Amino acid sequence: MTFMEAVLDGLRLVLVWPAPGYMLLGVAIGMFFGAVPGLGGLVGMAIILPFTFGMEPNVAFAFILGMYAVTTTADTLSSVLLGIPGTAASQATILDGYPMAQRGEASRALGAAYTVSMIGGVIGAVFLAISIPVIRPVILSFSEPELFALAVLGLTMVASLSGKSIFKGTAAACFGLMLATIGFAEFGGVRRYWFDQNFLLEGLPIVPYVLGLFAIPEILELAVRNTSISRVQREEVATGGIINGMKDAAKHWWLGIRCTCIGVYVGMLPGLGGSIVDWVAYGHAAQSEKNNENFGKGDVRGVIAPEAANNAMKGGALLPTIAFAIPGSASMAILLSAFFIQGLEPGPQMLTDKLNITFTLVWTLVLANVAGAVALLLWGSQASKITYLQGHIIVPAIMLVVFMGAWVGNGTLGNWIVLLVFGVIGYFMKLGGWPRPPIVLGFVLGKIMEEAMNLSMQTHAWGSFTRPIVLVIIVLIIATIIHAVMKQRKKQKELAEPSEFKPGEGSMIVAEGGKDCPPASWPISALLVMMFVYCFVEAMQWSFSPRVFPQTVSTIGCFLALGALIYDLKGRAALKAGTAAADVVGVDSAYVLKSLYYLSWLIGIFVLTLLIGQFPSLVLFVILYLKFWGNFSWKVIAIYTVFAITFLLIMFNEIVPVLWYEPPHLPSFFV
Amino acid sequence: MNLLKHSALGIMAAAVVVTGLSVTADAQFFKGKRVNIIINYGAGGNTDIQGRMVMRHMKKYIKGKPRLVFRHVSGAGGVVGANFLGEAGKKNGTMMGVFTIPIMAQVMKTPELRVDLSAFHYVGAIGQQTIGHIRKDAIPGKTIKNYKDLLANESHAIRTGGHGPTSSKDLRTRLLFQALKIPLKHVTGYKSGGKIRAAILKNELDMTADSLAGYYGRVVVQLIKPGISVPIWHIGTPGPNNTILHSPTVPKNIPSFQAVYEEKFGKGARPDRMTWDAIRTIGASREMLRILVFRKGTNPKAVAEMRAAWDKTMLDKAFLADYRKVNGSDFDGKSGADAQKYVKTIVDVPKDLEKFLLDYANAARG
Repeated sequence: MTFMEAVLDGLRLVLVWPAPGYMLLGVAIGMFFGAVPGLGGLVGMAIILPFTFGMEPNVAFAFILGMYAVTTTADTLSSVLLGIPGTAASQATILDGYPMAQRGEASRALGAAYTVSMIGGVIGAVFLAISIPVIRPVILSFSEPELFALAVLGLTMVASLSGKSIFKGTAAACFGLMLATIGFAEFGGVRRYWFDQNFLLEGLPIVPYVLGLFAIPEILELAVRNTSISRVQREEVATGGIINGMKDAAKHWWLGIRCTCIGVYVGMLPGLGGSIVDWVAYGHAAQSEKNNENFGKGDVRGVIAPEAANNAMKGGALLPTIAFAIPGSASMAILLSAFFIQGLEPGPQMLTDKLNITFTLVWTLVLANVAGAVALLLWGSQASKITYLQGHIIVPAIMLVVFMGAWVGNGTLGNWIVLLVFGVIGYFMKLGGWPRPPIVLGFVLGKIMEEAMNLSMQTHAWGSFTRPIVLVIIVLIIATIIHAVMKQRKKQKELAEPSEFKPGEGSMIVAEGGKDCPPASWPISALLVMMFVYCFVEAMQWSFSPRVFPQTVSTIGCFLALGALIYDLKGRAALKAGTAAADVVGVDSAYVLKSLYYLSWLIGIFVLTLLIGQFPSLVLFVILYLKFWGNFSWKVIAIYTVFAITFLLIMFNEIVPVLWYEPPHLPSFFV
Repeated sequence: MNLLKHSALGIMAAAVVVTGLSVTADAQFFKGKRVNIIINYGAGGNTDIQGRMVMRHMKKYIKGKPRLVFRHVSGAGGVVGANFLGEAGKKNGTMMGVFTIPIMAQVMKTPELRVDLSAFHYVGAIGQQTIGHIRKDAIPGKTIKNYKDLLANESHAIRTGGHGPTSSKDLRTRLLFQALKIPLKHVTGYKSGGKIRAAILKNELDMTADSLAGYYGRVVVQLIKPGISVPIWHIGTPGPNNTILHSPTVPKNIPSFQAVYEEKFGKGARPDRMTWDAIRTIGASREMLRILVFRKGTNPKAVAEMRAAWDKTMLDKAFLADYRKVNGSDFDGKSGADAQKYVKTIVDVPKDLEKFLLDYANAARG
């Protein structure tokens, strides 16, 4: 079979009925799993895999890959509209996507995101097709030392995510790195920072952690201020947002292409993948684009970059799976199982005898990406209307999604504790002008860094740092740091100049870490200093290998947090003296108190769950919130509650069944 | 008298009806119920995929056709799920675990495991051997064709990979090499078997071992067929008289560890008692890698019904074919009663062996 024959035969196999039907079904399922926070492609693939046992290979892969391809397209919905990442691969999208929604430009953000997702997905698939014969040396040349160096390079983008204070940004990144060390350190056989909680042995669960950091603070604001997500009225927004977004994607085509390449390459390297690719692309855009002062405030380029990359990543991730049977992620491990179930063996024959099957995968990715993006583009305008709804009407619905999204992973109350703890941390960090993205970045990179560092030292010792690719990456790291320092100095100069920022404007969109609130910030700095000291001391009892990373990070983090503390105390003094800059603000006590009151309601859900069970307490929360916060009529409450119960039962009892928490002293309800 | 007679007849008739109903109720214990299947690893992992596949077939034989709902309670190498079922699981038969058994946690008495694995009610178990494989060029200047070539090596350190000092893979690899007096350089801390295999592909490691499913599904296509590695041994099944037998699910050309050991040290030779017992214990744990269990105190009718369904499933041709598809090897199952007995033999290790394993693991902490 020649190359072109294989290409055409692959297309034919995808188009032979019932493959297209299953692909579209997979696309529909994938859109659903991507759009609901906490689900994601992995859960979807695990659920549909058993249904492929009796299928022909072309049909089975059309079904599985159809679903897999579009989860990172649909996840943009909740990232942009609600500020809640739909999957791990769309965390960076919220940095600019959500501010755009707040500005009434949700449709535009979605239009841009879906367009580049489609293009990124298609290019990623094409790249997969043309790279298969030549990619082996590239993949095999990347080992643990290279992964470690790449992770360090990724960390350098913290500078572009740090907002005003580089101390806060880097201290926050160290906080994230420390959080990554929670759990069982396999290489040392040591349990670290687990506080006798078994659920922490597997590490901090990322979904509740990210939902807590980002979603809870936004929900608090919606609940307390009762504003719509969009700060401008619907009538004030120009029509054609989706089309404008598509035009944006065309205008910034070069950025889209660059980020697509980043997506393909990051996806290709086993061990990096989905949780990091959007950050790498975002960091690249924020560092390389001109006129980047609006990044974090709703710059469409901040949406284009991660969305192009996270779809392109999927084509890249298929490469090592097909070519060497090396799955780069859990999703790819499932795909590998599908190969085996279908009697196919990944490896060289996928490039020779079974090349047509390989092209079936490529074509499925192409067609599914197009189908998913077109469907979402058509639907995007309608979905964006959610941003104009009154806060009190959407808060209970979002709360259900957030609480259940945090629960769905492994169904333990520990997940809710993580959600609430990081919700409080995220709220005060936001209030105090601390950038939150570096914490997530530090967390995802920390896991890669420590493992890679440990294995590098065992396998290559100090020779790890003299490998050619590592040397190239070290040069890139140095160049990036110099570039970041120069940019930071330029930014400081600009900030010293008079600003149009008016303190006290709650509705004003400010980039993460873009303002200072020393009275709320210094306690965080002080707590971080104490935490780093505790982490250092706690680690002293462990053997060398599990100790070295947390002690190094906590030492650096402690100094950086001290720097942030001094910065805060200076700001506080200036604020008291009335000599503070315009963007240094005090605490709005009434707002904070009301937020804390609402937080107590969220904690109430947890307490109530222990007493009467999870399902009734969530329903009760909806009713009480609508009555006492929203002052809605009983008729509205009744209708809303019926919808909430129906959603919970269909979604989490039928489609993705979870194990509801039921207190031991009560009879079981869900049997 | 007539009234008495009619009453007696009425009572007898009622008794017959009630008895009949109760017989139907027994047979239909699960009718209209929903059984929560707890998987102690995350979505998409081997435990999940195999668990779903097994239950899909077993469902046909569960009287009353209950709805099966899969839930993941993962963490700490399967310990969180085991604790969950053992401590908080329902006793009314509506919650069953399909686990990868965290046996070493119990053998080594790690504090995070709070339940006794042998106290579960076993519905059935599936065994799966591990196959050790090595790069052909692991010894400089020599091509390893089979285990005999490896045995001759006593100077060059073989680079092996593992998941952590307390994992059974690490313990097994170190114990086997130590017993055979073959030097090794053990690198540990890889998060998955896939990463170890990638390191072998990149020539950073020489050897590791994978379950049969992993061997046939990954190793053969990745390392064996391309001519990079060769299989050398499998640990084997503990047999009578202190022996380790060849597992029937493993091809004849891949010998058991006992055969390899005797090849080097002579027929009937054994290493020191502790090492041999430790190897046998780890080997035994592979005999019931996946388990289907109810918590202690579960309604006996539920246990009996599920056991009956499992027994039928083990003979189901479609199941056996699907099992082979997913795992690449033949099915090796145990009935609930057998599994219940067998687990005792694994977990009830003597104190000195428990201490030996703990010390052995601690010695490898970096």
